[in-house]
Amino acid sequence: MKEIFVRLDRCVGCHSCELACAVEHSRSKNIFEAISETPRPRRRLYVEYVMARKMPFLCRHCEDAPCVRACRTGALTQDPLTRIVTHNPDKCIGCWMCTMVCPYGVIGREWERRIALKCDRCPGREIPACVEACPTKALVFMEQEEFARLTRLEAAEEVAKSYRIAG
Amino acid sequence: MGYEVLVRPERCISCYACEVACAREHGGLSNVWVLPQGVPILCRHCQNAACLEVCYTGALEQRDGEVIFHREKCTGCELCLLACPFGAIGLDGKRAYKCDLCSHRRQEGLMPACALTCPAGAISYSCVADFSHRKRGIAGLSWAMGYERRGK
Amino acid sequence: MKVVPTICPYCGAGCPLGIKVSNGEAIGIEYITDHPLTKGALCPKGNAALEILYHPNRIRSPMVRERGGWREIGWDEALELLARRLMEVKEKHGPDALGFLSSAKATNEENYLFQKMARLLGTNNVDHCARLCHSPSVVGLRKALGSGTMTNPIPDLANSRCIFILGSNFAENHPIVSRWVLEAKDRGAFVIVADPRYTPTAQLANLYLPLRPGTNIALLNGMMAVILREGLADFQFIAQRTKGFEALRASLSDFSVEKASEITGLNPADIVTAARAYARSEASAIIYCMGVTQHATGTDNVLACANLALMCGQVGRPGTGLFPLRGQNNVQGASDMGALADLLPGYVPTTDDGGRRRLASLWGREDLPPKPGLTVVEMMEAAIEGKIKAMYIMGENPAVSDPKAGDTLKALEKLEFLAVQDLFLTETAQLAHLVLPVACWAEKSGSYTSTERRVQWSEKAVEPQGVLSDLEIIGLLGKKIGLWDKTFSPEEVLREIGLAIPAYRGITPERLKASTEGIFWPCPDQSHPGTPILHRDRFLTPDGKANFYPVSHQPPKEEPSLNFPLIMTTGRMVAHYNSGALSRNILPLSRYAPSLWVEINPQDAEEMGLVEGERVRISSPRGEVEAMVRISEKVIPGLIFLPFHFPGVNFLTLKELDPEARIPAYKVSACRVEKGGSHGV
Repeated sequence: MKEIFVRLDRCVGCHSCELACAVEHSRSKNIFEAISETPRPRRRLYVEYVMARKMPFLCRHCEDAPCVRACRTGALTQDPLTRIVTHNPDKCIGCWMCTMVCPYGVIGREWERRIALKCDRCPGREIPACVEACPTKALVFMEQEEFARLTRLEAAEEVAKSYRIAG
Repeated sequence: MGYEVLVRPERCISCYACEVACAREHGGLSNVWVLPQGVPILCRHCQNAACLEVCYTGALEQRDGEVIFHREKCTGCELCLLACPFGAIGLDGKRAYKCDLCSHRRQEGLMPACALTCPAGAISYSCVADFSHRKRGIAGLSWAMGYERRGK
Repeated sequence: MKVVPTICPYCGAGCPLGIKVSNGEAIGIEYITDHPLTKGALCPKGNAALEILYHPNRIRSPMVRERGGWREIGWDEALELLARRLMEVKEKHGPDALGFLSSAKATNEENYLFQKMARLLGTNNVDHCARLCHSPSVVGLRKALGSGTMTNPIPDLANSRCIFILGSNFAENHPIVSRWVLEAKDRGAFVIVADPRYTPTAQLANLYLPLRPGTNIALLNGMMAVILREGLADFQFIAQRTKGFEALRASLSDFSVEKASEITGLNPADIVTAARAYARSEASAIIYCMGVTQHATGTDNVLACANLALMCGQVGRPGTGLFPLRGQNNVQGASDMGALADLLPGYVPTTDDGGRRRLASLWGREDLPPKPGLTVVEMMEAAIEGKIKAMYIMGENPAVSDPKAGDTLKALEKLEFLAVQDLFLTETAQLAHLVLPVACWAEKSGSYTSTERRVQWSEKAVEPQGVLSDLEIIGLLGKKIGLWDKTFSPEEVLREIGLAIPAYRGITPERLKASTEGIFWPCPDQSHPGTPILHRDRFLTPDGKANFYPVSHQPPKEEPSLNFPLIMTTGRMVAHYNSGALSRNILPLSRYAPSLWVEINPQDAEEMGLVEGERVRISSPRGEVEAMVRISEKVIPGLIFLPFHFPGVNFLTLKELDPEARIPAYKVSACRVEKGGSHGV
């Protein structure tokens, strides 16, 4: 299964992902119309600044997710195959149990209604909107094996470079 | 608007300060229950709350993201106790009782007592956005430190 | 309505507590949110503090014990009786037949005046419960660093990158400390907890070390051996700021992590992890408490902690240091004020001629008694031997708190005269000939020194009803005896303290009242801001350098035997406080644990066929007690845990004393558990 991975060294903190996320989750899916919609379209991922680094935070869709465990009404469910954690707003009662257990702080609140809001990994799209919007490819959508291979290639390049310098 | 009593259960040291403070503020009965495992349980003031749905005397009312309890209308039928998914409603003789987010303190511009008294900082009175932002900061710290170690 | 700022009367953290007063009556408490330590927080005890104020069980009039029971008498008669009986014993048997127990619950001013009275009467037999908790810290840290106190303020823990917690259960006993440890953890600190019991504090740990009781030195020496082997010591710091390192290195040369693992029962890898984490971090702190001090090797344990901190240069900077957490709201202050048998105000040894005479001249005398007096436990022994004839106990409950309680009761019963000054008719007061009721913290003004060395002023919130404050009683008594010719206000006494103790010179009542966060001593003059962090550039030893004292593991004084196969350790729980004189009287607290319980590992419980909630009899070679069984994985097999807030627990404990600090070895006693208390299941 493909996951969203973050290459922290590439994030410049441009917030494009946040904007794309909000637009994708609007009714019109168009930035100009989205800004005047009610409920106001909201982002489900967050770019934070920690230790002089820019870090995009988004739901990790954890295995046996704590938020799903904590949910008392069945609003949060996890697909056993894709491991995507989906939130059903009709069942949500805004008790914030999921918010309180989430270790990454990525379950937010809808603006108008007192219910939770989280990443659904863009069900209608082949590539999630945030990934597509990222100009520096800090966000990538791929299989874990592929991501690890990418990192290995980068490391190999470094090693090769040093060999070249050493002659 | 939007302020909630939010808990970081990993911080709870089961010291019962919230229980003692709540009982003092509410005439001897605590509206928060600390489980020995270290989780304070209190009314979550749910949207479309189950307790409210089952109450046929109108003793429970939803206003401004808060479930308000009118003691004088309560008949003690215990349906709300049965309906509450958290067990956060108690019974005092023949009347129910539950968290009112310290309405008497908020009128004076003070925080709910449990959130203020918690020595470990496990209970906070904040909005979801601030709460999650702080959590992301903590998670981000270990993430960033991992990157520091990798040297890039 | 107004909010009167006071200091919480429970543990040594010194949290501020606002009392809402309307028409002279306390109607509620308010949280003081601008204090740097608490930010408004209070633990359950602080939250229930007001219950003391109007408690129906409080004594409201002086009482004498007669054959038929208690008879209420007037204040004048009571003070007359007290003065007469004390003077009679002094005339007949000499001043050293008197014993005085001061109180870590009373203000600085009261402790100062109390020990001054004892010493003016010609005896150094004045002591208080610091002897039972942190006397090894006073002795050990003074030898090593020059000052027996906490080096850094509690909120400074947030700057630590590694926090090593040894024998401290602050999550229950000083809950506010967990706020700052958790804050450090949020900032990425590594938290290590070493404790034989899996306490709520241990739940906060990244690494938990369940060591065998009484093996602290082996663990610390094991860590130091690792640090030396891996070259992680701060050799620059050692060379510039310490002495005696070579002796320590030599003493550790034949010690290894494997030996430490054998003694402590810990996984060697965990000891290595702890050692590396502590030594490598930029700022590491050590928090320790009764689990370190209440042993027959208490002083050695403290020295081992100091050795570790000095070896890694983890002293004198923000986020570093040693944190001996004090148990009572003014145990630091009472020690500073010289309510100790061997130390005068300002930690001047009684044997130091110059210092003693300087103090004597301040008090208008030529000299004071030079011979160190008897300590808490020694006084009880002397009473049994008949050397001490009369005791005056201010706000302490030795019948519950002292070790081998059977002996304590014998001693108190044998006294010719016992006067007790307390809020409630405690187990000790019931044995007294004369009981004097006193004002509680909210009914008097005065200064308290918290465990952080933070001196704070506590304001009188309500007028006492029928009772006098300790300060008024001592003042009147001294006047009756003829030691002075007037009574004193707290402000007057604090000014005299400033003259007597150099570290308090800059601390005046005016400054304290104007400040919300108090002043850290040492504060040598009135423009000095106080010293939150000690040992920044030089240590407080005479030559400014810290000292290493090599120590080695010694087995506890009592090992499990055939008859007494279990090890018993004691400790506290969050809802109760010390001897329980306060908390057992307060329903919002005592409902969490109305009676004594004992924690037993499921494995042991199964062997003995015990079930949860059953009553059992626990006995040691010294006595026995009944308790309710709580089966719990928190204790390791072979260990049982009892909270010491209930009378009876100390019937079991051992009276072996540490040779230097004279602290009893409370923490390790052999015992056995038998089915069936007298009340059945």
